[in-house]
This record gives sequence, C-alpha cells and structure tokens, in this order.
Amino acid sequence: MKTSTRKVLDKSFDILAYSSLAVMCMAVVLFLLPIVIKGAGAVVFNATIEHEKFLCETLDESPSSSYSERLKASEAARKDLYVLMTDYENPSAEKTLKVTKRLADARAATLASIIAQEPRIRAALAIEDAQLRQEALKKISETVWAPYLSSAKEVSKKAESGIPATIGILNAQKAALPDLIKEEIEKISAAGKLSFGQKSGLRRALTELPQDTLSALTDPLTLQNKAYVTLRGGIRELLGPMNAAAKKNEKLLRNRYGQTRVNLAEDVLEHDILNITIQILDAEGRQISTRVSSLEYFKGTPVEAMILYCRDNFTAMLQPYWTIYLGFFFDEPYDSNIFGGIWPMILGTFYLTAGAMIIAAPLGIIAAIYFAEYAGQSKFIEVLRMCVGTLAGVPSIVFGLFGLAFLINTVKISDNKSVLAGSVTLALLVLPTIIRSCEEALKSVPHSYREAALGLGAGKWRSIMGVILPAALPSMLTGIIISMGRAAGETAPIIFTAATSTGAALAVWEVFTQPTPALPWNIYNMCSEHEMADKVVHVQYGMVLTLLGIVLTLNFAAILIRAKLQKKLKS
Amino acid sequence: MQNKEKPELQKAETPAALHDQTVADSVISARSFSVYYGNFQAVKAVNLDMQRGKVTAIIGPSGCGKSTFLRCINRMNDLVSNCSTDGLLALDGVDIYHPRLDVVELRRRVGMVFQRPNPFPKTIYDNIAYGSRLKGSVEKHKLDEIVEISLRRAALWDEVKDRLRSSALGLSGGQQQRLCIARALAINPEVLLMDEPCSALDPKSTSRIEDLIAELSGDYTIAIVTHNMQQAARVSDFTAFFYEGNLIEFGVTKSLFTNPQKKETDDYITGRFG
Repeated sequence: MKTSTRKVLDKSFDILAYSSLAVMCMAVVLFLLPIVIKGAGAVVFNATIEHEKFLCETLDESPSSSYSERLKASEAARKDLYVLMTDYENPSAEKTLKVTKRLADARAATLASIIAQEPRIRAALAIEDAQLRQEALKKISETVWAPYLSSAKEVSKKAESGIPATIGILNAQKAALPDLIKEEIEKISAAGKLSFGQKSGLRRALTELPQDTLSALTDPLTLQNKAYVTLRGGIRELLGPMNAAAKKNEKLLRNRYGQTRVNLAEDVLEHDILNITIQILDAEGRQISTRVSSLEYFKGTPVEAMILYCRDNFTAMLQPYWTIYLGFFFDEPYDSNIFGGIWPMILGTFYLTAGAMIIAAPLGIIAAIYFAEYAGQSKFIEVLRMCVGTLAGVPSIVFGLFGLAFLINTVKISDNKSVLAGSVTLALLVLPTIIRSCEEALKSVPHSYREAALGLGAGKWRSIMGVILPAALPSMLTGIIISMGRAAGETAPIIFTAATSTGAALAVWEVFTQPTPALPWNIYNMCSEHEMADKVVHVQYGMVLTLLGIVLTLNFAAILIRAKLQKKLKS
Repeated sequence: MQNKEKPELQKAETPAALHDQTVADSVISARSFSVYYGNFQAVKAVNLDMQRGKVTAIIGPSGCGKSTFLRCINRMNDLVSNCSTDGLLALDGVDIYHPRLDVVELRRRVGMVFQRPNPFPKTIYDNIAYGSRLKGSVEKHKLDEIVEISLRRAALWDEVKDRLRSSALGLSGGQQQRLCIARALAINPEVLLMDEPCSALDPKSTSRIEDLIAELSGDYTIAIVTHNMQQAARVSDFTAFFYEGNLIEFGVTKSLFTNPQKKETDDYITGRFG
C-alpha cells in the first residue's frame, strides 16, 4: 500500500472515530438536556402564594419572613375581584326588588285586564269548531299579555340586576302564573258559569303564551349564565376558594388551593379565563360547544370588568416568587401528586434495589467462585453455564410474570404484591449478569497469585478468600454496582410483584408484606393514566430526572470505586 | 507429617550408583518417578536424591522436564488438570503422592519461588505476613518479628524497612523477587524450590540473589532449576542434568562440569546443543 493511501486511510478513520463520538455526545446531550431542565423545574420553579399556603397549611412548615405581608397583599388584590363577583351573583336586595316589583305590577295589571275582555272570551268560547276556538282564545291572550311581555323582554335584555338574578326573577314570575290565572278565570266564571272544559281551554290559552315567551327569554340567559359559571370555575382554579367557608367544604385538596406554579397559572389564565368553552344554540336550535374569547362574549356586561381585573392584577393576586422546593424529594405526595413530592417512590426504589442486591450479590459471588475455581469441564457444568447465559437474556417481563405466578401465587411468599416478592424477582433478573461479570473478574486474576498463595500452604478456600477475591474485587464491584443501577430502573418485573400507583412510604418491617410505589412504575403510570396528566408534567420530568440521577450516580460510583481500588492495588 | 501409614523406601529399588549417598541425609528422593501430561511423558523414571542443607541445581535444555519435576516436589502440578504421576517421590521418606497426604502441610514444609516475581497486590508487610497468618492469628509483635527476620534473611530489610505499608507492586523486579523469597522463608520451610528465579532479572539483582542462595544453604535445602549453566556452577553443590525427560547425569557440581561422565552432558555443557 502506498504511504499516501495509508495516510489517507488513517486520517479518514480518525475523522470517522471523532465524528461518531461527536454524534454520540450530541445524542446524549439532546436526550439529557430537556430531562435535566424540565426535571429541575420540579424543584426550582416560579411559585405562587398558593404554593406557600400549601406548605404552611397542609405540610405545617414554618412560613418565610415575607409570607404574611405577601399574603396580605394578595388578599387585598383579590378583594376587589371578589366584590365584583359577589355583587354580580347576589345583587343588592333593592335592585332585585325594584325589578320584581315592576314586573309584578305589570303582571297584576295584565291579569286585571282579563276581566275587561270577558265578552270576547265568551264569544270565543262559544265557537263550535275546536281549532277556531283555540285560535280566537290565542288572539285574546296575545292582546292581554302584550304589555307585560314587552316589560319582561326589556328586563331580560337589560339584566340590570345581573343575569343570575334576572333568571331567578323571570322564573319566579313564570312559576306564579298558573295559580294567578286560575284565580282570574274563577272570577270570570263567577259572573257566568263556565264549564270545566271551557275553563281548562281558557286556562291553557292564557298560560301557554306567557310561559313560552318567558322560557324563550330565560333560555339564552341560562346559557349566558352557564358561561359565567364556567368562567367562575376558571377563576376558582386560578385563585382557589373565595373564603375560608368555601375552602372547608372542598373535599379534594386540589380544590382548596389555586395554582401553585406560575407557568400553570398562566395556562389557566389563558385557557380558562381569557378564552372559555361555551354552549350556544346552532342554526337548528341544538346546543353545541365552542371556544370564544371571553372578553368579546361578555362585552358590555359587568363580567367584562372581572376578566380585565384578572388579567391586569395577575401578579398582585398570585405574588410569584422563585423557590427551591427540596421537599419534592422528601415530601409525600398529596392528591395524586398534584402537590407534595415523590418520597414514597424514591424510598420504594431504594427498598427494591437494596433488597435485590442483598439477595443477588452474595449468591452471585458464591456462584461465580464456584464456576471460576471449583467447577471442572464436565458436561453438567457446560449445561449450567449455558443456563446462566440464557437466563441473562430472558425478557424482564417474563421475570415479572414468573414472580407473580410462582412467588406470589404458588409459594405465597406474600399474600399479595410486596416489596419482598419484587426484590426476589429483581434479584433473579440481575443474578446472571452478576455471576458472569464476577466470574470474568475472578478468571482475570493472574494465575501467578493463585500459585503463590497455594505455594505458601494456603488451602484452596483460603487462597480464594485471602488473595484472589480481593484482587478481583474492583471488577466485581463494578459489575455489581452496574447491576444495581439496572435493578433500580427495571419496570416490568415490579409491575406484577411489588408496585402500586399510590401509597405511603413504607416502614422497614412492612417490606415483607406491603407493596410500594416505585419510580419506574410510577413514571409510566403518571404519564399515561393520570387523570390530570397535563397538570403534573413537572412531576413526570422530576421523577425521570430522579431515576436517571440514581442510575447515573450508581454507575459513576462504580467507576470511582474501581479506579480507587485499582490505584490501591497498583501503588 | 502426621500420617498413619508411612510407606518405607524400598531398598531393592535403589540403583547401585546411589548407594554411597546416605539415605538418611537425603531430604527428597525420587525412585522411578514419572510425570505424564495426558499421554505425553514429560519425566521418565527418574531416580534422584537431594541432600539436606545442600543446593542442588537442575539443568538441561528447554522442555526437558526440569520445571515439571521441580513442581512435583510441592505438588504444584496438581493445578494442571491432565497431569498424572507414577513411581515414588518422597520427602523425608514419606511418599508425597500418597492419597492421604495433607497437601497444605506439604507446601508449608516445601516453599517455592517462581520464575516471575509474583508478590500479592497487598502491602509488603501483608505479603510476608500472609503465610504466618494462614496458621492462625499471630500476635502483632510476633508478626513484626517474623517480617523483619524474613526480610533480613532475604537481604531486603534495609531497602524497605521504611515503607512496609506501601504496596509490594511498587518495588523493582529484583526487589520483588527478593520479597517473594522472604515471603517463602517467613513460614520456615525445610526445603526451598526455586524455578529459574533470576531469569527475569537484571545481572545486579541476579548476583544479589545468588549471594542470597549461598547464605541460605546450610539452613535450608535448596533445589534450583536454571537455564544458566554458569549460575549452576556458581551456586550449587550438586547438579542434575535432564534431557528429554530423562535424568542423564547427577553428581557433585565440580566434577560434573569438569569431567562429565555422559556424552550428552558433555555436549550440553560445551554448548553443542541446548
């Protein structure tokens, strides 16, 4: 080969090597960076006063120095909004009374005018043809009710006392009609007897029109009120319950507080306050849902002022501040991980991993010593080695099912899922790897050590314990710690044997009988089956970061220990 | 050795040439001793006596079976899977390959130094102390004594007395080999086997170890396998010449080198082959 060709080949191989390294590093960074950043967001984030309220009230932590003044500031900012809302929902009695009185007077006048129509009524009732008769009665009804209904229309349009109140007034008016009309009919009947059929026909004609009209007036108002209720729900989600009484009535913790994180609060502002989903009547009169800008929808009504207030006083009402919430790692979760931390998951992962290693490490080391030092070359040993090798490749879910079928159902190591069953299953999972790596480590000890030890009169066992095992220790430890990382992160074996979605942190003696939350399983659970998955995105990333952190720390520790031990052995 | 049966040497098997050596003085005796690796016979019916307190050198070209023979004396060939023996090899009149022999005890009485220095990856102190600790726990000051005595005997004490707790792997090659000698001496063996101990060392270290061998003889019975004829001539009292598994000639070193009886010996010594 020419020198120049060889140089080109060397150079291109170098470039290939460096570029593949670069691609790997980039991939790792691209993969890790979002996890690190978003996961860190679970601990370091822009919090609102609601977060501090949660810490002080539910977790009984001591408040920071500025807490009380910020609390006061937020309460002051919210007061105006609440005043607007209460005024709108429960307007002053005098306003309502005024409208009610006006309508009541109009109604009374209308009802009184029925008597004036008596001749026409009798004439209409005398008509033989049923249809014609009904039509005549309807015409009379229209005449009678016209002024009242126009008043009612005006009231509904102006909605002076607020829509909820207006709806109440109109409904009250509607409800009282049948009895009042009946009274008037009796008065007419007193003058000249009317048959039962005639009375009912008249009553129907007189009641139908106003009731239908009033309903037609209240229906759109009801829809508008529903929209307001939706908006109010959004405000409650943002800020939490209005007062202590409302707070006490809330059973779910998530309803007792507003948004604890500023980014989630901004989402709520945008999606549930500034834009809402409302029901409207389409062309055929059916109700359909649609998203509208609430400022446009409530334009001209008192509600518009509330929305503007929310938008403009967002900061004052929520009092955002940057915080480091280390409780994320050490607090129990509250209300499906919406509040609090992930301590039970971390503890569960620790129990499972420690348990798995306590079982697997001694067994694996002893088996490795047997394979490396005592086993000969017989067929039986070959088969054994093959079994260990095969077991190393079995999918982890098979181990999980085996754990369920054999450990829990057959041997009944525990009545139901438990950390014990999970640990044994995980131990079986990592055992082949430990055996293999420890065997390799033992085999790689120079034969000269063995000879020297035996030559000094050490028996086989003592030469292994005193010389060979310590010399193989760095590699063995590396293999064991890396297996520990694997056991910590495996999901499939623990699904069936040990993991639950929710649960408190276990005490040490409970590990024999109780299942536990664990990081790998709960990450899956939270990302897929959680009812409010979009509200706990930060928790999902936080858990992934924690699990990654544990595994990477273990691997890093393995490298460090190995380096240190090797240095000790060599120097 | 605490054995129930002590098979006696069969006087009838003693070849005539060895009759003048006092059997009581021989520590290691081989009678028609053969070693097989599978079907290959590496050592062929050797008859040999090594005398107490003397240095016996075993020389011969590569592959002649001298290391194999040496390693049988403390049964290190047990570690080789397909190695089998035939005939008698005795220590102090007791058959080494007797099925009820305690191999561990044998190896405490017969120490070995290997071709390449192989100190344990421990401190210098722990290396020397290893053998003593095998017997059971020893008091610290006793152990310190043993370590110092062994290192002095191996002519290493002055060089390492300040760094007993540092790793043995930090010593030079020659120092490591002397450490291995000290380690072997620390358990107070009767016999010291040395398998080409200087072949991996520089001339200065080699001469120090040769001086060491001269000092140790008298207190210990030493068997040394060597490629280096001049070394054999320098350090040993008796020499055995092996060729292709057979013991060709055995005798006092001076007379074997100046006046070899067999033609092969003469050819080898004068360098016509080997």
